Amino acid sequence: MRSLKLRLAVGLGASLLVLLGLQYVLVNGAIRGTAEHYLADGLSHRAETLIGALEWEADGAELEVPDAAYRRPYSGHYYRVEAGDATFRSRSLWEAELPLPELEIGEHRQWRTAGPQGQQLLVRAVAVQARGEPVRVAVAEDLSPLYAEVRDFQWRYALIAVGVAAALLALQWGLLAVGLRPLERLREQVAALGRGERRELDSDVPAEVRPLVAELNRLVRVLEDRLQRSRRATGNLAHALKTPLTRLFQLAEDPEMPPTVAARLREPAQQIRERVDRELKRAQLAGGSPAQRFDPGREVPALIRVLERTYAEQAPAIAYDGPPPGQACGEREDLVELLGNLLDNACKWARSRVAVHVAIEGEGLALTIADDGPGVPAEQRAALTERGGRMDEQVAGDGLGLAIVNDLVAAYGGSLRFATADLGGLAVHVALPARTTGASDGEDDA
Amino acid sequence: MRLLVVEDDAEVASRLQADLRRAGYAADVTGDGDEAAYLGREEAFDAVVLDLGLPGRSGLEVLAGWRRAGIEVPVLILTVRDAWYERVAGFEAGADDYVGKPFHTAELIARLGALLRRRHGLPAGPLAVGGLRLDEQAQEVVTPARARHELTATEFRLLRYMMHNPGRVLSKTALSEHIYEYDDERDSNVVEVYIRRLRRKIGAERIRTRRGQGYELQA
Repeated sequence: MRSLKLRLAVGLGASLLVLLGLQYVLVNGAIRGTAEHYLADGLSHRAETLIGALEWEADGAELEVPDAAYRRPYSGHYYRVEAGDATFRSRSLWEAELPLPELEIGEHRQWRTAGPQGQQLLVRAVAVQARGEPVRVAVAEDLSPLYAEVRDFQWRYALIAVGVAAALLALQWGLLAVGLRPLERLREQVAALGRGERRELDSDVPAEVRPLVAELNRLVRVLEDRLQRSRRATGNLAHALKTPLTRLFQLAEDPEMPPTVAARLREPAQQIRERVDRELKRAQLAGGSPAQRFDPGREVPALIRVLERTYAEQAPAIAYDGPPPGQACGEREDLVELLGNLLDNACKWARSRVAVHVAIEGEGLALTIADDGPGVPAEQRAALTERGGRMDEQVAGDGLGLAIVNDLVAAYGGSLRFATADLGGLAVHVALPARTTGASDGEDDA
Repeated sequence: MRLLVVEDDAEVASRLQADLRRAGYAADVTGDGDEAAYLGREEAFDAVVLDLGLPGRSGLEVLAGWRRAGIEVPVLILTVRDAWYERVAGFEAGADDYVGKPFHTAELIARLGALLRRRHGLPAGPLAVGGLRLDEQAQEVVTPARARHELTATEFRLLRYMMHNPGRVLSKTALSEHIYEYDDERDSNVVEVYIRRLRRKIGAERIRTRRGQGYELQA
């Protein structure tokens, strides 16, 4: 049984049913016992009355009983009295016999026996000494009416018990649902954490799960700290590498440097630069941690302003079509990097127009960046994402952008597709799925 | 044209200064954020090349401080921090261009030239005023009669600055501020000497003298 709720419900329900069953048995036993006890008391009293009603004459005893119940045949009330030599039977016995065992004086006995017409009799027999004579009396009463009433009670009691059990079970189920609601909320929050919609779990939870929540929050913070640290570390590494690399570039371009040496210097410097750039971008992938969210309605226009300034000479018209500000999806730095590279590439090649289309699809993202440039023939598109794929000496830049885009899309498990744009140039379609698990950290290939 | 280079790596800074001087700019260098903030406020620079990772105060703070103070000098950020979200932050702080390190000097100089032309409302391409064309590569001036004249470093700076401000009266002080570096000996009388030399090369009528005010390059 994997569900906590089901497990609790079954346990609680079973114990409730056992309890109610036990109570039913005990109550019924007690009722029946009490009723029989009451009847036995009555019988003992009747026996005494019978003894008291004996009238002693010289030639023996006489018994006159006024009670009509002893006269009506098979009324359920019977007696047999033996006083000295005389024996008296109630008329109600009619043709039946009420056995009277041999008892010592002072002894009494009580038992059940089958009576006439299927009656169940409770019999009480006593033996006493009266006027020097032994007197033995047996009185009997039919138990059937009592049993009928007890059965009637049992039925009603069972009905009530079943009703109470059903109501209690429903109440338990409800209480469980209410009691377990914090867990359900926690589950939803953990899912939101995975999607990057929250940065931590609410700590306003019941005491039982508070340590768990505190630990989870701690782990999330540790993860975030570690990510921050590793980002800072790679940033510092890049800084440390890029500054001497800048000197190498300057050296390679120094007019006082012999051209042959400069040329030989330039190539490895460029290779180091590409490698550093690419590894840096890969290391900076957020790896699924809940960081700042990407809000295309805010970020894309900001990026467009950046590109309009960067390409102020060519002044391409960049059109944005996408959700308004306030809708967020995915990790900001990664997606800004992705879009920045794609837009940069498009602006590099556009004649005058670039179009950006962004759509949030559930938790996923669909992007299209199109330009009105010369485009890329279908057979050459596969090479686009290789390092320096769209290399062209006439256009500034090093063709690294699309390779970085490719790494980013791969890390997100998304797809990258090239097509001919309606504008005439290249259209890049990117589809990024919802990100529930962390992206691979981009160390899968070298 | 006078530039401020804010760069904390001394070697990169001095090479860049040399490259910029070779390209015909006066270039002052500082490696400290606080000093950069001060110089930007007090001196007449035509553009700033700004590194972001600085001791003292970060480049972005320096830039934002200038923009808050209404200092509109064109700023080109030159940094190792060239992720796109960092570029966005740079432009939002008020940058006009952004170049990642390591950079190609030729590209940086081309972008600076374009930035300056844009700032002065001039069209892209070679600098030309009233038929007069400045060959910024060769540092020569070409007259409408296609005569080429070599220019000395100071003449080139002076003419380039005047060609960025055609039809405007420029005082001798202003001219000296835009052609000399911070540590140079400034003598506004020397400006007169260079104006005279320029007139000999491009024709006296092109530079008008406004008595008591300064000089004006005819548009």
